Amino acid sequence: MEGATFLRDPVPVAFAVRLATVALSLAFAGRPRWCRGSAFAGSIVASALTGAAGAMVVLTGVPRQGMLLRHDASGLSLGYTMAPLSAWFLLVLAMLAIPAALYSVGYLSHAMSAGKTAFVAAGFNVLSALFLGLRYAVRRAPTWACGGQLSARTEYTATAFSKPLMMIFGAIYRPTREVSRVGAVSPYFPSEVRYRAEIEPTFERFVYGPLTRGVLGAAERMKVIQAGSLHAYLAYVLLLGIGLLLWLGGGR
Amino acid sequence: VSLVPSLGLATLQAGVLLAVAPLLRGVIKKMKAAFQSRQGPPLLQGYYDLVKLLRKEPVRSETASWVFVAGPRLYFATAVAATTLVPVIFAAAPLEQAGGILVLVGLFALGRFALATAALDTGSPFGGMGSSREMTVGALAEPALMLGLFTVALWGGSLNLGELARATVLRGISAHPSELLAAAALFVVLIAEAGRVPVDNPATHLELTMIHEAMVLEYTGPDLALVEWASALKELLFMTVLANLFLPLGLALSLSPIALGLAVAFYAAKVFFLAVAVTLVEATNAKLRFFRVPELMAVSLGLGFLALAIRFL
Repeated sequence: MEGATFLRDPVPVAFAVRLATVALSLAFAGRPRWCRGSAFAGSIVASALTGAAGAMVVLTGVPRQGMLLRHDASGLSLGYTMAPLSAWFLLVLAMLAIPAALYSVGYLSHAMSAGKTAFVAAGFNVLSALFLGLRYAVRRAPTWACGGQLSARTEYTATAFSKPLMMIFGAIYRPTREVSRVGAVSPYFPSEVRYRAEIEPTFERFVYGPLTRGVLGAAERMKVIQAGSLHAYLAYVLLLGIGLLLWLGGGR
Repeated sequence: VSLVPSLGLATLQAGVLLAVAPLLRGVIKKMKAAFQSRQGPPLLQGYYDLVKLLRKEPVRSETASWVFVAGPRLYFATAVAATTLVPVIFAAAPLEQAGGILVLVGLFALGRFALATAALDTGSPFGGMGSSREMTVGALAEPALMLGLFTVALWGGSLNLGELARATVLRGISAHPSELLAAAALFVVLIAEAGRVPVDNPATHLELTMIHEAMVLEYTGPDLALVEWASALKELLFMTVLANLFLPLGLALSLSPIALGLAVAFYAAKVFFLAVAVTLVEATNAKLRFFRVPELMAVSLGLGFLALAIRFL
């Protein structure tokens, strides 16, 4: 690719660099050092190119459109569009991806077994093309629950999540809550607790309700002139035409 | 505006603000300790904590998915991205063509959303409680923030923070009640967004009262470092916006060394002044019960409405 084209559109170049880097790091699978080096160097170059493309769009304010892949024989093509806002996100992501790549070189050198390096390095490029691909060795542990047992039933529900807003706007939503105990002998020895919560559909009742009722009511009254007779409809068109002619031409 | 200087400035500004943000937290902690006749942690404790966290082994919950991993990164990325939209030293933002007030507010909302969904991901009840509270406070603080910023935008005739700063620098400070009220409204929002005392307490891990800390309870190591760093940066950004929109004193209009030196000195002084104000509020108030927070936010919203109304008088 010649210099001028390259400056005009760095995105396909960045794409090509990423693909080449993935291939290269897989090819160097047996030599972890080379593999890491090529993978992250390639990633930095690709990130810089993407960032530059984003910067151009941000600074000129002109959205960019172009082609990533084109195969004339099969008619296969993959294009892209970069609006100022997306360009700006790409720019920031690229700015973050470069230090992330540098950081990962050191991290992978002692956190990974040699055999895995190639796949991690290749994966890094695939991921950072999508998002920040910073991966490290992670220890897994159970979620802390004050020593209790967590299950699906202890999760925060949508009702619980929205409860503060429901309480704050209680004057509008008028939440009601009903807890009843069911027991064979007495409610003091419940075999079952029933819970029912409800909010008042204020907006449906006072805003959307009247609106729909008004529209439907108006439509109902319009039915009088909509009797299903084709002759009547043709007469309406005629009357409307005459009326329009009188109204628009009458001024002259 | 040419490409290289803007980009360089954006990187430099993001870098410098990232470097300074932990110091701001340290200064506030030190001043608060002085108020309580304690010695307090060293000024640089924030940096030590970040280094420690970045070197720690990451531990994640067995039930955590990619949402949990993406949360802190997106939060951090949005905070860094927001730095490029805010005028700090110059009466211009490095990437101000990309967006103004609406993008700034949207970025903060996106970061908050990322962290809140991530907190729900592990299935911990604390995470759910924290994110529920955080979203509630956010839902109440955001209209107040928008109102305050829109009042300023009406003054400057633009939604772009860089243009607003230039307009205010040229116009000078006016002690118009509308501006004072908007500044007061935004100060309340600053306290809520930074998780400072009447709304949230950054120093506690008491389960039943915490908001932000409950949300990030499951994080450790580098993930937690990102969250802490981004939170500090967010606080600094809010102070910067408040300081530079209402007191544009000293914002550099040229690249001359004297103007730059003055701008840096004035900026540091303004942020320090705001830090003192935040410390005073934090040291003299008790944390509000969670269901009293809406009242505080209503005050802020009311001030914002008044500011907007007076603007049209």
